[in-house]
Amino acid sequence: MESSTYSKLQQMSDEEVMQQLQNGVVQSFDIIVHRFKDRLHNFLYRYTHNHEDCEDLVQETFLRVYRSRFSYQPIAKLSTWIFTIALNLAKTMYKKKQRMTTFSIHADETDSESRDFEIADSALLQDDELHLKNSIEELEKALLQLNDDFREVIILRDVQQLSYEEIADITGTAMGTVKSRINRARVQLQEIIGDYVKSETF
Amino acid sequence: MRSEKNQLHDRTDEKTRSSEKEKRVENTSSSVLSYNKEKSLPDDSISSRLASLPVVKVKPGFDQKMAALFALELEEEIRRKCFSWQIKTNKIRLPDLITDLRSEFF
Repeated sequence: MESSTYSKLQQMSDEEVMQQLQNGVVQSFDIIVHRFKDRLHNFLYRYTHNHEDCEDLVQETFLRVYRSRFSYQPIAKLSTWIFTIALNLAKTMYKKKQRMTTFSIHADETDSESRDFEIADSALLQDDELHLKNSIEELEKALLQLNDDFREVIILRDVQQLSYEEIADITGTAMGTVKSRINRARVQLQEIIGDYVKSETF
Repeated sequence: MRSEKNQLHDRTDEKTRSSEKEKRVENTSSSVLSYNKEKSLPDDSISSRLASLPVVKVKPGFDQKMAALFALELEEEIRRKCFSWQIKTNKIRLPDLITDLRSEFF
């Protein structure tokens, strides 16, 4: 791989890199994988709560991106297009497996390998760490209790920090529907973890 | 005259009192708002908690797996292209296997 091509690609926007991939520059695929792998994994993990399924889905998403590269048009953001593919794949997978109601809400025991977690404050005390862990578990459990429509929008909004417009594009629903689903999802989450939050705030 | 003066005084007093009241109400409402924002507003609390969830990254060996899968994908793509080229140009054919050389040369 030519390093000059690679460094040029690194300086390009997502959409420009995709255009290069459409033009046959295979190195562009590496750049896309590098830019989106963690974001996609995080999104899919919050949606599926299963590391194995999630990793398969991330890989399949990238392969689909490559296979259908000519169908991408730069009128939409590349991230929106990729998240749409990922969400559709996740939905299809879970429809096939019909596991949405039966998978565990506890930590994923199938994942034995080491994995990086990005926690904002690295200088945490032991009690704080325990507290943080509990807090994360509570939230993850609560997220899994939401229905699919609510879970996908709230993850895209509050975890992935996407705009309402992008979420509407990804989920294929109207902006108003997205906003109301997000609000209702937040209220539901609040109800589920209400006691926990109250004990924290008062 | 005096009574008029008193009335005026009363009015100004009332005005100052009511403005003070308004100020107090404003102060309390702003403090309540800020308190809500900081502490107990459900939407904000949930959103900020979700935003602060740790980013779950891919496994360390993910890049290698992905590279291998992509190599297979490229190979498959080349094979498909070759196959479609063969179908398009079916007049050009490789000779069949010669099972019995004697029939050809003798």
